[in-house]
Amino acid sequence: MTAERWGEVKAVLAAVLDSDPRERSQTLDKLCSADPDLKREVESLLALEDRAGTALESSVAPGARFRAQITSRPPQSIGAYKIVRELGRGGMGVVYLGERADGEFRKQVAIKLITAGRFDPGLEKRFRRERQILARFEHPGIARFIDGGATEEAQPYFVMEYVEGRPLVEFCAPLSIPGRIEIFLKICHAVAHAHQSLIVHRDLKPSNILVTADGRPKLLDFGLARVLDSGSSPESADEPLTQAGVPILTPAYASPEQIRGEPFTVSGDVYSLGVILFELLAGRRPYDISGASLLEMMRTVCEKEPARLSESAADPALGRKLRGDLESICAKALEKDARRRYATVDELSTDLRRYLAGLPVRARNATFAYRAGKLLRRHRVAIPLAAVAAILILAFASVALIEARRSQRRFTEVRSLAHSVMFDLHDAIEPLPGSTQARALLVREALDYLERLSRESTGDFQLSWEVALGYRRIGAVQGYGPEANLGNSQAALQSFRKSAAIFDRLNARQPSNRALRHDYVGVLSQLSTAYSATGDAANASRAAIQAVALAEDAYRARQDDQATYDLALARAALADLSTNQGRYPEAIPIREKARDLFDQLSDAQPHNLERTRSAAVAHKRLAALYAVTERFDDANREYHRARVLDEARSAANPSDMRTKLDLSYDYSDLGWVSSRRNDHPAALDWYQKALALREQAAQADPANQRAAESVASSTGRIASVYFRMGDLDRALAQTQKALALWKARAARPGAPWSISTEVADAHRDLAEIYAARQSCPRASAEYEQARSIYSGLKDRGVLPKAQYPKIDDLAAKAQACGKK
Amino acid sequence: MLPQEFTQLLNHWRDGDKAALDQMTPVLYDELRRIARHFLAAERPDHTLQPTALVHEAYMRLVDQRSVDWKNRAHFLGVAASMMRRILINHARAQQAAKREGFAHAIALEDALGVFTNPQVDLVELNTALEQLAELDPQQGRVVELRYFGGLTIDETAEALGISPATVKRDWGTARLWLMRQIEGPLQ
Repeated sequence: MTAERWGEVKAVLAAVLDSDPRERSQTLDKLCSADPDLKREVESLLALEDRAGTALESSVAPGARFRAQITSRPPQSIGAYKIVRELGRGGMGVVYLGERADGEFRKQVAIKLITAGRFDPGLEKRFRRERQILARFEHPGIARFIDGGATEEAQPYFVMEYVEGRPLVEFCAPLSIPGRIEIFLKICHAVAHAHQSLIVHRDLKPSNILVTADGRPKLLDFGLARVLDSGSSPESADEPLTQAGVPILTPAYASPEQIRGEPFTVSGDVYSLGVILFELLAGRRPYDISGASLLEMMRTVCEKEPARLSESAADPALGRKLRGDLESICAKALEKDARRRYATVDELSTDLRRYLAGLPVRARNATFAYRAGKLLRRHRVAIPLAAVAAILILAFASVALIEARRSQRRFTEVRSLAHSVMFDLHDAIEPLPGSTQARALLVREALDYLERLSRESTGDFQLSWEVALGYRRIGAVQGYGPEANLGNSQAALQSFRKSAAIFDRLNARQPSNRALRHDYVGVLSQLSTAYSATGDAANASRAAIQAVALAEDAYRARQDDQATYDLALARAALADLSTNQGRYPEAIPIREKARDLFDQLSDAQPHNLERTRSAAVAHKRLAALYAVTERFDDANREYHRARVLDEARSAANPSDMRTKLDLSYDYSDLGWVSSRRNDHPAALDWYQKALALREQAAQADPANQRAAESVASSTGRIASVYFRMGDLDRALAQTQKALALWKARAARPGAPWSISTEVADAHRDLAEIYAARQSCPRASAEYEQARSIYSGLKDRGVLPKAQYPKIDDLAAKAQACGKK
Repeated sequence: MLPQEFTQLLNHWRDGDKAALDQMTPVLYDELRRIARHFLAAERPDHTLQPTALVHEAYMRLVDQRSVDWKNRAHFLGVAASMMRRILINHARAQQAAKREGFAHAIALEDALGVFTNPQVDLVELNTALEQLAELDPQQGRVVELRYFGGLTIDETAEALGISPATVKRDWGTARLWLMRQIEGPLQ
């Protein structure tokens, strides 16, 4: 197309676009009467109108989006205030100078418009509640809160007293050290006053502090965090997290506990004041975190010792002045443990005044104890409620690892920390809802640096042992049996194998080391279970028999607690193996012996909940064997004994989801026995009790595979009771629900093959319901589905021989029904 | 580059020095990249943590605000439009190349620039079509650049180009259809 032609096309096109839509074709005809090509050209362009309207819409174009970010034209007014000009910009928004023509006098105010963050529907409400508190609150050192609300675009704004002043750091730069401290003391006074009114700042930093020409500091944004942070607002507790308000946190000035997301107290403001004091005196902050990633900043603040004040000073002369009292005062304000900090802002002020007066300061006394205790405190890893804290500790340990090369003493120190992180911390967070992923991360990270340690000192017996235990731990989190896990059997198997291989070498070096043998037996049992889960029966048996042999050796040598427990576990594992392979009568005597050992252990320590659990499990497993061999009275007795034990555990620890799940299994199995005894109402009752507990557990931790599977299982059980009661409608609905749940479980990568048998069984159940309803084609199709799954498992070589007859049975049923 | 220098380049460019734009672009691009990194990972330690609303800083930091003629905002936004176009096209091309060569992760850092992009059209294709349009009708090409990449309103575009708003409206409306046909072919 030539430029000239485009000019003609454009003219006609524009005229048509401009004309009344109803007269478009007439306009087009009129303008193109002599040129049919022109008409075709314009028509082909007009046809794209809708498409162009959306794809090249100016408001969604990059330019418009970009401008939305850079636009600097201030609004005409906000609320009742006329905007005069922009005062500044920060991470959260823009500050404007505003004016209110109120009767005769004009009042100037600063208006902070929050442009960051999402629309927060609870904000208005919180404003109303906080406005009165904040408006009443007055102190010459604090910029007065005047008003607040939200604009039409739902952007929150705060109206504050307008302060004409210079930024704190700039103002202090030419002052002497005592001069800077005098200014700082005025800031402390204002903060202390706010604390007395139970208002914390939460975001104290030099850029929130202006100093007037006559040397009076004014704190901005007091109370803002309180309003913006919906986390503290009870009525929003049930709102989704995405609707939470703007998080108030400035990494360089936030205390470790604030970064960990713990409740904010006055101590957090004391810490922030410590950072400000440090910066005013030394000219830089105690941590260099500029340019670091968020996680690095968090690690630094939570784990790294702050720099020493005297060593941070720009020149040595200043450094000498800061050494001693001021250094101790800063260090005490910056303590990581809030309890070791100045308890109040007044205490900090008092020490600074003592310094100015030449009196001894309190911080000095604490410093010696602090130094002496520092090493000890490193080892005493507190139990965090948030997994992030655990990761931060790990991060600290990694840093320490680099230094570890320097001396053997440090090496030992780091190793013991690694150990305590991996084991103590893991155990501490395990029962918390939602912790499965966090535990996997925790263990993996810990293992990672144990391996690094291991590489650095090959042949170290103790260290290899720890690495082996690490693999065992990670295997359990990846996917081991009944514990909350990530459902990846293959990965778990690899970890257990690595662990067992290391133990094998170590056991050959020290064959009479009982502690080592104990760990080895444990790993072999888990290894056996992991082999089973992946369908490798031969290796599973080998590992289990090896474990029992080792455990019997130890038990014969000394019948202590540990040996008893090991043997009980090893026997249980071996019995499980026979059970899984369908050799039930063979498994029963092994299980009975194991139960007796577990009872023995539990009786010896009745308050040990883990032992109670093991005993309960032992009873349940035996009960199941009785049940499948149709010894229902024996089964019922064992299940009730398990139920009593688990109910006691649950009563002792009501928030523990694992116990809830355990108990749900007791209920469910009691339901099964009732059902087999044809007591359907009782069966339904037990199953529903079980389902309720399981849904609770699955909701509390969506990553917990065990909980999710048990919900599916309960649903199927309930269906079967309805079926036996003759309520086919309910049976059908529940079975379909169960089928969908099992299919979803089986579709997960790394799902064990046994889940597929559950899918097949659900199809079979559907078939039986359809058959009972005389709906033969459907029944036949479902039988066939079940058969093909089983035969697929047989072809893969994972299906136990005992279950082979099922395949022919299902085929026969499919055919029989088809013939009817 | 000092803000004064950047501002000087801006003025040169306004006065017709095409090379000035070439000199400004990498600087602004680096600045945007730096901000993109902030979007994804780190936040300046002395800023309250809010990984949004930082983009305006690229310009604010680069431009000497005292000497720029801020009354002529349309002009400034016109410059921004040209640079924005270059940056986005470079970004889109780099992304395509990286995808072809299988290291999409290598450019993940710059994906924050995606906040400005519009997934509805392929920017590289749009750019080619726009170059063709500019050959047929330079003024209309400029209108599209200002509207699409600069986000200028009809009135601002008219002011920046010294033409009437009605002309801008006509150029924009017809250009969209033409560009659409170039990108996607005639509707069958």
